[in-house]
Amino acid sequence: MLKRVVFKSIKNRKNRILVAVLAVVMGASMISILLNISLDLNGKMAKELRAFGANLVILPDENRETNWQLISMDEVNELNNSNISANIYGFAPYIYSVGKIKEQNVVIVGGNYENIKKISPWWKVEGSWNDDSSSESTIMIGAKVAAQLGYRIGDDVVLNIRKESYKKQTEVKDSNQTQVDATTSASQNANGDASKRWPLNILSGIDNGEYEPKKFRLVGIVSTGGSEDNQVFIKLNEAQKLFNRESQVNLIQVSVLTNKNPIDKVASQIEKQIPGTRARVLSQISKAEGNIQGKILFLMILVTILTLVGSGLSVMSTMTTTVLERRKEVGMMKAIGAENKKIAEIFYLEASAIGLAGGAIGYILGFLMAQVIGKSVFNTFISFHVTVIPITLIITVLLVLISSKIPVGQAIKIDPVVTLRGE
Amino acid sequence: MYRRIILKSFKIRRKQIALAVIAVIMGASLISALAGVYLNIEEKVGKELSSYGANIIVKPKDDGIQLEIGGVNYGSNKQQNYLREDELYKIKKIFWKYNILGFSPSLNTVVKAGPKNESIVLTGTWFEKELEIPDETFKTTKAGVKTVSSWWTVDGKWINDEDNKPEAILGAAAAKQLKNKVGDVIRIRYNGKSIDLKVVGILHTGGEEENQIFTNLSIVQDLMGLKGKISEIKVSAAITPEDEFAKRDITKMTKEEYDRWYCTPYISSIALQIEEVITGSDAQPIEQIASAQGNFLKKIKLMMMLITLVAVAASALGVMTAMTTSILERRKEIGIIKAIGAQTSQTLALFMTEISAIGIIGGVIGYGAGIGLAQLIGNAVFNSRIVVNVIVFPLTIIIAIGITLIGCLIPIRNALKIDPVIVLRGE
Repeated sequence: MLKRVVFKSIKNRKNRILVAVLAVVMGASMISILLNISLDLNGKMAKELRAFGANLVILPDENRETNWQLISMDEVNELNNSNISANIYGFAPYIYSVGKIKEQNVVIVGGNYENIKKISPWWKVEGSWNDDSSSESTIMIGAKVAAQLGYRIGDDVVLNIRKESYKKQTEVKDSNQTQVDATTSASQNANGDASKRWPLNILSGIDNGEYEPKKFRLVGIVSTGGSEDNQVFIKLNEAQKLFNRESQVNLIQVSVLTNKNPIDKVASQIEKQIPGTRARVLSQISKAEGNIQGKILFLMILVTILTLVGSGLSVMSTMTTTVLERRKEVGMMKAIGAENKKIAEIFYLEASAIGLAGGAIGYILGFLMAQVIGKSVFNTFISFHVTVIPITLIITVLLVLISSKIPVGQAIKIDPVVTLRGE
Repeated sequence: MYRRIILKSFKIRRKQIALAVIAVIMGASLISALAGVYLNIEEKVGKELSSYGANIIVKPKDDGIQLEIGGVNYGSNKQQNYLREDELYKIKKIFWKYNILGFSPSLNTVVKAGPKNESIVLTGTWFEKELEIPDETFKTTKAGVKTVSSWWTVDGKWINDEDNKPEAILGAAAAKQLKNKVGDVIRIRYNGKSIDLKVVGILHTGGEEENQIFTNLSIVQDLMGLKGKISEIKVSAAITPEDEFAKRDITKMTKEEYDRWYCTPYISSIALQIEEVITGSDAQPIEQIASAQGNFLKKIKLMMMLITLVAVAASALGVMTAMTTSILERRKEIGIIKAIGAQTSQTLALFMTEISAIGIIGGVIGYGAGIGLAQLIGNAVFNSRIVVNVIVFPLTIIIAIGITLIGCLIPIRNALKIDPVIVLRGE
């Protein structure tokens, strides 16, 4: 009986019901869009914020540092195949030394350029990058080095590389108590010094070492506005051989995705995985990242609530009018003996049907629109979250039921005589 | 006549009208709130992104190649050039002065410290200095490392710029190396000179700064014999993302284009303006921060725009459905009006006036409510006010009236087509 009444009512009043469903669809699709995006936002933003570069650096621990030990490539590869790799967006190992070009001291960096491209996307390279896989001796130089020394792409660059630099340093005694002589340049101050600490250990003994020339072909000029402008870049393998430090690196820059695990946890995981290292969290990047993610997510939540309330009220006003215009019907039903409870039941059932239909269509519509937004903003699709379906449906049905409550309450209070008379 | 009919209709159908107005208010407030937030998002998120630190670095021009690792200079090859400390205030006097969120000068050198004569970098800087800016309404501004490096934390206390006491803050790694703690006095030697600094704090940054000693700028200037000189300035500026226009060569721009470029807060134009006021300087964007900020800002703006558009469309449709139902229930009324001889155009005009009134009332109230909501969002998320853009008001009102009219048009037209006899019979 109840089913028949509701069914008939929906069938006969197709237009009105359609309008009501449309109103619900709008609300539901907003809920679905915003929920879908919000649930994916942390992951998406974590990826976007990786554009700010590494947020963690792995260095030898103090014990190794005092003994001039570096990190081995085997240890670097631990980052690839362990349980931490899921948290890592990318990493780049580096080896450093100091050399001379045209009698000028420069910092020489050995790196893996495929990796650097990924974790440091802001490097602007004029010309081309060093090709990690080729065997040619190529070099990239910082913009300032290029400008100062007048190099162009294609030139040959002769780099004087310090031989056995590390061996020399180990012979320097720990307690070098001699007074510093009156030198003007700060770099000379570091000469012959006992400093073993990164990064002064790279720079110490600059003027005492033996240098050996090596020719490179200049392929690219790097500009970043940072330290890189003053450095020169050669391939990691080649650098390790030339620095007499085969299969070793000074440090690893790591770009950690922070949406799954907090960065401090990842840092301690890494320290456990690779003993003898310390993982230093770069607060500049990691703190700002948390701050931004939190704010944007909060903004999205507020916008979601706002649209929910907004579309909720418009659903409410639609439902109110649909109920109110059926006062006559209510009067009729009452006149033929229907109980208040029964009448309310009919209305609520009908409202639930509207809510379910609108919610389902709205969910699908919202999911599709979320894809459009995800694709155009982050260039990736929004992943499917099952939880959004029940949440959307429950919220919409509840919304519709709540919106119907007041008008239904009013409608069933009507005196059948008054309504039937035609007022 | 019209006026009387409409006033009567408003009076008698108070409840229904109120419902319609509420629906419009909801839609309009959503539109104005989201539009308000969207128009502010670049500035607000830009400010938040400044927590990534300085995005412009100012160095002396014709500087030699530096021995630099991790942003720290360990000494140069040739005689270094310097910038002038007394020109620093000018950074707050450029065209985009309000976009300068902070700046910090520094002068550093490698010194010997402690009983073991260990090499270490000593950096002189401002921490949080109140700097007077002549001829500006804001009079003073805060400058120093705390304004550009918000992530630095100190165990103990910061150095007061005004006191000029021989105090030092040790980087955490430096403190470990020198085995010093807060309260110790540390001897610094440089070029045969020596000074004693009292350690007042231990600095944690996660970066290379942890290997350094920090003290007042003037102490390092005295030590190095470089009075009033600084070696670099870090500037944190709120920027607008670089677009195609910003990437063009400024030497090839026409006068108008150049003015437009100069008067847009691109990182490159702000850098140029700083270069213009600091003698012998070379201001470069720190690409790591600047380009990532620009890209992220672009994405968030696009996302907010799309969400705003979708929300506006959804709420517009919501309002339209509410209006449609409100007209549907008045078919009988339309029948009566027609039966007593009103022409179609007259009936239409009558309803349109009423609906426009609903649209305007709902639009104005909704606009007000929306501005309030936008402020709430601004306060809650960004801790600052949302500046109301003048364009939001006409936009909201036009959309509000537009959607109410469109929402009513179809049902009214349908109702008008119906033979009054049928409607009045009560079908």
